[in-house]
Amino acid sequence: MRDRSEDRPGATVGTLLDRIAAGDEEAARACIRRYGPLVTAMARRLCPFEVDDAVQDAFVEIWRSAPRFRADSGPEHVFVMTVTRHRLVDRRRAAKRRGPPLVLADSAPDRGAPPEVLVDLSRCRDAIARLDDGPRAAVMLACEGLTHEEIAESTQLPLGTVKSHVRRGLAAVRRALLGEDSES
Amino acid sequence: MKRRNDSAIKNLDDEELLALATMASVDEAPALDAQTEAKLMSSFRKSKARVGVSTTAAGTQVVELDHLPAVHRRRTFPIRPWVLAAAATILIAVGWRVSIETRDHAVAASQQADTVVVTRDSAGRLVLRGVSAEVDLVVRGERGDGTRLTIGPFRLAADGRFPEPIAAQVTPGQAVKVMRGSVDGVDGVVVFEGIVPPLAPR
Repeated sequence: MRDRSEDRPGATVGTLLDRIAAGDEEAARACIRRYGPLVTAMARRLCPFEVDDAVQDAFVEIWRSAPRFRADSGPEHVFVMTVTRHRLVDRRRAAKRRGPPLVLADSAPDRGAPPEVLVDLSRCRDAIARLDDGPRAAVMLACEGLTHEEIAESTQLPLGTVKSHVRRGLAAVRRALLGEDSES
Repeated sequence: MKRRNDSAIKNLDDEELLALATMASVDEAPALDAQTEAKLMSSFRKSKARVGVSTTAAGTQVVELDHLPAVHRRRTFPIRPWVLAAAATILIAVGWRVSIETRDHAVAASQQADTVVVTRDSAGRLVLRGVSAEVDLVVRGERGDGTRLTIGPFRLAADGRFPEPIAAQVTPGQAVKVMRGSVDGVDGVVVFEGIVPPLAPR
């Protein structure tokens, strides 16, 4: 029977990517099951016209990047999501049709990933939802991969204001992840 | 809300926070079906392989290096870079000359892969030289504005000729990338990257 230890919440995450780097197929399968739903959901948002290719592309990038993961530098899911977003944003930029702008969903996903990941995503979503319109729009455009200059052009706001909006939005996300929101 | 004292979270940079924020913008994360999982596993296996050119009495073929005899393989060790650096420093200090034959063979094979070129035959048809196997490939081209487009997946003919519908979509001087792949996607192995030759054969 297959060992599903990597699927459990809180599994030793560094070990999973280390094993992928070493070519372990079971670790790759565990990674696909753990993050496949989220990667697919993200591909549907950022690359709606080429979801299958985008998902495959993202996972190939995860396989390639696995040797760079260091467990002491941050959580595994953040590493996986960062690699995935970079790849999907690259595809979105290169695509003939970019698809609709990224908007914040009414609620964060409540399944399809380990609980600790869902908690982080829920906190992020709530933090962004609480932002004022300006910072929220700036953060969502930044999520799409737009540079500060591109966001300024898109929103007709001064560059300094855009930078401030993004900085404030991401600071709110960080506070939410740390559970500091209720005390701020 | 429970407060976390997590230094890893405190140290996240903007890109990592944006990644989390981007993921947080989705409202549902559907489970993958078995077919998709199998396809991703296939891409994992292919990503482990590296491509090279094998010339034998039977001809020249693009092959995965991991399918060559063991002497040709370049192993990937699950060792931290600083451990490797320290080991290398010690070896140099004592004057050892380390000759890693497997690496030399692998590099040589990779260099041969550079001999794969897109050119034209005497009739002016677009051909991929250096690849004799019938392989599934994907061509991606670059537009004038620098953006890229997928021109299409195709099966390379045994004589290396591009199918007409594919050849018709590229223009002389256009930057293209030929990758191993199919309608299911590419596996990341670039067989050729360069410029489409002019119409007149060189």
